[in-house]
Amino acid sequence: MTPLEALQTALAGEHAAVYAYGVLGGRVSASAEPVLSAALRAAHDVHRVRRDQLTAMVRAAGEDPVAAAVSYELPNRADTARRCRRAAGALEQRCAGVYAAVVGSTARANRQWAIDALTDAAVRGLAFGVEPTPWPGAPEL
Amino acid sequence: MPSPRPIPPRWTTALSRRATLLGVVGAATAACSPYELQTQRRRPARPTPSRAETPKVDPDVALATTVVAAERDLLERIEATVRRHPGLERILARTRAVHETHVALLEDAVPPTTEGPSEAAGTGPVDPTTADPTANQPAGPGDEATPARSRSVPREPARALRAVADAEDALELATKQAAFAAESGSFARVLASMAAAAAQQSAVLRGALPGVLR
Repeated sequence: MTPLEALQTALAGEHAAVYAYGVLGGRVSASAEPVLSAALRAAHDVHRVRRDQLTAMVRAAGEDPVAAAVSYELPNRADTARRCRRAAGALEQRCAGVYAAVVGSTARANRQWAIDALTDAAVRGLAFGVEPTPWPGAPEL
Repeated sequence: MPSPRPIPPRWTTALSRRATLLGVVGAATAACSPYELQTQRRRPARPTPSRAETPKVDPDVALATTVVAAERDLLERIEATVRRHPGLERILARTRAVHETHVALLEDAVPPTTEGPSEAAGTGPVDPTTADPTANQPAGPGDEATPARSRSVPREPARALRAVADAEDALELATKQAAFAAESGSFARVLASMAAAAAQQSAVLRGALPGVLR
């Protein structure tokens, strides 16, 4: 995978994450599930920032950033708070895998960005019930 | 200081891991492949080689060696903590397993005749024809917080657990720096994943602190 392909793939992943967190946030009651609701909102904010950073990184590399799709399939039905939490965990795991791929395909500032993003996704996933693992983002190891 | 528990071989997964990392560290060692290093080691001792003749260890191999030493150091800290506070064993068991997994993978990756993990920890002989004299030096500023040869475990369990979490943070930083510096992208990915795992463990241990304080 070329560095640009890795960045574009990550950007596509961030488009999906931003969409999904927007949906999940709207399905969890802030009064009934204040902790989960706040975690989903924080994740939404983080992924929006990452999407914008990746857009800039792709442009800086001289390519048009991949556009967002109209809609995305959620990891599950997300019709209860528990399923929303699980869906968020799955999103972070997917993002971790994408960031790990960016680490392996880039260097210097872009790699540093991906290293930090991978760590953040790994830790953020814990709040959504993801079990810690020896190889976040690289489960085949 | 007692060494960490021996790590059982896991042949079922070793091949894929080896393929991943030897493709990383090994392939990058073109000027000094493991086979060449082994061959050189079997030859009769030569007069002290000049600096120009000394084979150079691949930078990624040196990174792997440094990270293994840091991982082993953390394992030693965990062992010492459990010895002093047996009640923390359950909490630290998964943390220990994570780092044992990391060590096993990296030990698979480091060519056998380069400075190995035991030597990296400062306890074994160093082959002057193969070892990188700088391999024990910190790779970056973050490494300085990791090696702690003489460690004391706090008397209070909560403080002892926090000390392990702090050590995880230091390891995370050092491993991130190694990931940034790695020449091989695949190896950088492995190291970045290890750093993320250390960050997870730090978060898990800090999350367990309230239960220990009770």
